[in-house]
Amino acid sequence: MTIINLGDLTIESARSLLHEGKISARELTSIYQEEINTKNPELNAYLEVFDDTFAEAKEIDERLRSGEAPRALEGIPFAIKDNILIKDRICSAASRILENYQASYDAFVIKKLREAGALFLGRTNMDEFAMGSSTENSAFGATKNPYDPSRVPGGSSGGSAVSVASNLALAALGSDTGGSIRQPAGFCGVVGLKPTYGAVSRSGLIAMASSLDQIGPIAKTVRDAELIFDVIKGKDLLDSTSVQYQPQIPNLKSKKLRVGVPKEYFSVKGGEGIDKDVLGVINKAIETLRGLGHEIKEVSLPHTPYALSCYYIIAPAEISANLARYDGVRYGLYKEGKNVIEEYFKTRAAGLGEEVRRRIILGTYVLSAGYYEAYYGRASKVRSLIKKDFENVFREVDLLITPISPKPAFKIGEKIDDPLSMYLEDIFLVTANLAGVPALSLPFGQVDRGGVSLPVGIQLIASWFSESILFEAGKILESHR
Amino acid sequence: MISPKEVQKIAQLARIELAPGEEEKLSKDLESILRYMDSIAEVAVEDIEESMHTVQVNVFRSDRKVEKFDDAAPLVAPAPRKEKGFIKVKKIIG
Repeated sequence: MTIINLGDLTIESARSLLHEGKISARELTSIYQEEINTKNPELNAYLEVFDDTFAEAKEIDERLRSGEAPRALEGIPFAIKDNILIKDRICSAASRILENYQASYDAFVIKKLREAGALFLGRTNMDEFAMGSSTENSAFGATKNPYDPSRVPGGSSGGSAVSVASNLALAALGSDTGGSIRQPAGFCGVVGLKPTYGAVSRSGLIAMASSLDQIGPIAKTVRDAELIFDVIKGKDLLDSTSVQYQPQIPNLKSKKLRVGVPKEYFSVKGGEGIDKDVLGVINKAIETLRGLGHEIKEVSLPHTPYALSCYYIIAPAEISANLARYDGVRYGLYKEGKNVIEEYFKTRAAGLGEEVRRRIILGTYVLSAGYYEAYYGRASKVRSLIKKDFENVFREVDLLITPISPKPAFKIGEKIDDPLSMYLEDIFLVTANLAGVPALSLPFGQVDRGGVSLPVGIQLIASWFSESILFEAGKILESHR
Repeated sequence: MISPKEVQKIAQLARIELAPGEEEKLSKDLESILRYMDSIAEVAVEDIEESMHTVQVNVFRSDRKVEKFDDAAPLVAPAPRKEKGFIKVKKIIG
């Protein structure tokens, strides 16, 4: 057996090793399982590690030995966020209310990964129902940042980001409603993609806010994220908002990219603005692109300052509707009451965590008679303006470069009692969800905090169905890190 | 702006039982969140259409032949209370 350095392994290199018979899928699976056994007790990235991955790996090995051409993700071990359904597995969304819920079907993306030969190591921790930016809102304990276990890994896809960053999986799936793939990827020094809305089917994703949710990859390199995206995208009859992916072939006049620096992202209100070390990393990325001859241009998306307000009205409104189904009747936890209505109240009080209850109540409020126009109605109009801003700016430039988060990973407990300060974490991220455009986050530098080096990343945003531009620019930056 | 009494009313609509004293805490939390959100009142939105979705697709599909579905067991299985293939609930009409 070849000695494997997990730190350097990518999907492409693992595929070659598997194809050339230098390692078997069983060996690769065992290596990851050992890493999980060693590190997961401290990091809490996985909620469950599957016990039959090895048996599935055996089938992959037989297939490889039979000489069949390897499929796109043949033998690649994945970690799956616990809000994506895998048939016959528990899928809890890190909530007490679904603690014992067993999925009766595969999500579309799981079907796609299976068909491509992927293996599933387990399901990863997250903020309950994907509501949060730190993975502290899990009903099953917080996940720790591998660079500094006293800090958060980001969220809500914290377990998936940590599993990739700590070599507990070669790649992972997350979901992103307002930054839940990109922010944890940034805090953990890995790559995260939120695809264009509609590019990936949401069938089998436990719904949070249906007009914003997208599933996407978390991986070690931009190329790996691209390989996964190519497998999971596509039209699905079970999600009427999914579309046949037609890539927008960039109409580049030359090999040079036009990169927009949106000024509103650099003059945020609230908090103390962008940390100067984080700003240093972004500026270095901008200067790198400029140095390679790409055009850098300051641009404006004038409605950016309203995006977070808009998001925290629309998302809770959709949450309050989507989570009405957790009533103790069809699935999940059940608490006895004297009649069916009392059972709803008791079940939901016992099964839903604090942040989930807060958002359901906020959402019910902004949709209630007398407030609808001032909040939800108005926010839906502001959303149109935010979308228009992107349409306008992408006539001028091919992509945008922005920070992911104002600061590097924060301490566990630092923001948990102040919901607004937690929401402000998403200030640079929610715009892409509101407009539906694709966005990629990738690591680009480190900052020192108390003698610990923490990763800092950048976000690239492109026009609808222009993921190819994100991959191209991402690879350029990756090779000049 | 949103009193504990109002929180209690909203919680009724949302079918969530609040713990004793929880309405005070929620009222404080929501107060600061709503104050932040009030910024959207500044935006001129006259004649602007509401966006409910971002990618304009026709979400309707043509009719499909209805096929008999006889695999209800896995769908009923997760229900906490069930009997003879049915989900069981308490009587709702008095």
